[in-house]
Amino acid sequence: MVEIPTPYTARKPALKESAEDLRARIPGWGADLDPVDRPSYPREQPGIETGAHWDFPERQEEKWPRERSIEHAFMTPVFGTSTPPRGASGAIRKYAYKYSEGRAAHWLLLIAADRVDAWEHHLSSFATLRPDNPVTETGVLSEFSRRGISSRFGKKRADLSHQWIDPVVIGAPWALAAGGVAAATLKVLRKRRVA
Amino acid sequence: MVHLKKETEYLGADVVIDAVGAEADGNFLQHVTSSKLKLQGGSPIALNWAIDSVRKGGTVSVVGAYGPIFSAVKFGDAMNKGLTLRMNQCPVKRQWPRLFEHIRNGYLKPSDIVTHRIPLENIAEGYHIFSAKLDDCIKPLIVSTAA
Repeated sequence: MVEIPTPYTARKPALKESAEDLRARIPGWGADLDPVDRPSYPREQPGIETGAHWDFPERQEEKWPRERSIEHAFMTPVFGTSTPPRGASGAIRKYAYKYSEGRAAHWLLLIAADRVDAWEHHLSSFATLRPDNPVTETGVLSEFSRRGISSRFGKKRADLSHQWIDPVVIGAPWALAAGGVAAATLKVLRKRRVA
Repeated sequence: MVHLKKETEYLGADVVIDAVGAEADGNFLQHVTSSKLKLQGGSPIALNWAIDSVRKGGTVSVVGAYGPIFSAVKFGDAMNKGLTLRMNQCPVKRQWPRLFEHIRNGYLKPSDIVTHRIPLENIAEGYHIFSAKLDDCIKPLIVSTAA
């Protein structure tokens, strides 16, 4: 007789391997079986000592009108100050906070601002002694030293089908910018020659 | 998924844990809309596989991280199968002492999954090795050489 699989029969299936066998085979199997040993049980632990010495913490000084969520009653008592909004990206970020976190516009504007910020920093780096170098600073040279080809092919990697996008997404903006600069330079040179 | 069904005699697992999260791979459309175009708060491929491979009335537990905006999750399947979804960022303070006991007892060996140790000054190459999964990299550690 053909054995009928579990979903079509009345009884609950038996375990393939008993708890005792599993405990003997895998060190630590079932170590958290007893709820007494579980840090997450019971879920609610009243009277837990939080270690806070305040009821409402002292409020941090706001040195500039920091962007904040409109879902909060007021500025949170403590907030980050490491990356003050600047330039066009800063303006977009401030605008994004006019929308609540429940709106897609909030997040999409913040994502757009991140891209603008990245390019503001790339461009400003060219005015310094250490301009950004996408070849050395993306770490892409490790493709040569760490088996870039054999790490990818013949391994049934699930991401192989779309890996061609990565160099396009990362490289294309640089290539376009470089092409734009080259075209502008040529135009200026030609104009000079004519004159 | 079909493999998991076969393993469980076509019933589906009692519990499935999504430990992958937003960077999950395996579906071109999900990958492009999430990782590349950022139109999703992470690609929910692993989560969808979890929902599909758990049995009806089973539990899906999510420790893999996702971002704040919407993702194309098969929520209807989860609802119609009567699943219990449990998820959180790790409540470290509560879990840490017990996890440390497990490490001391030899039940967990975190060092087993470390494949690469990368000096801090090679951080750019190190990150590329990790993100492009070169050299069979699974878990790299950044080590400070100025010891």
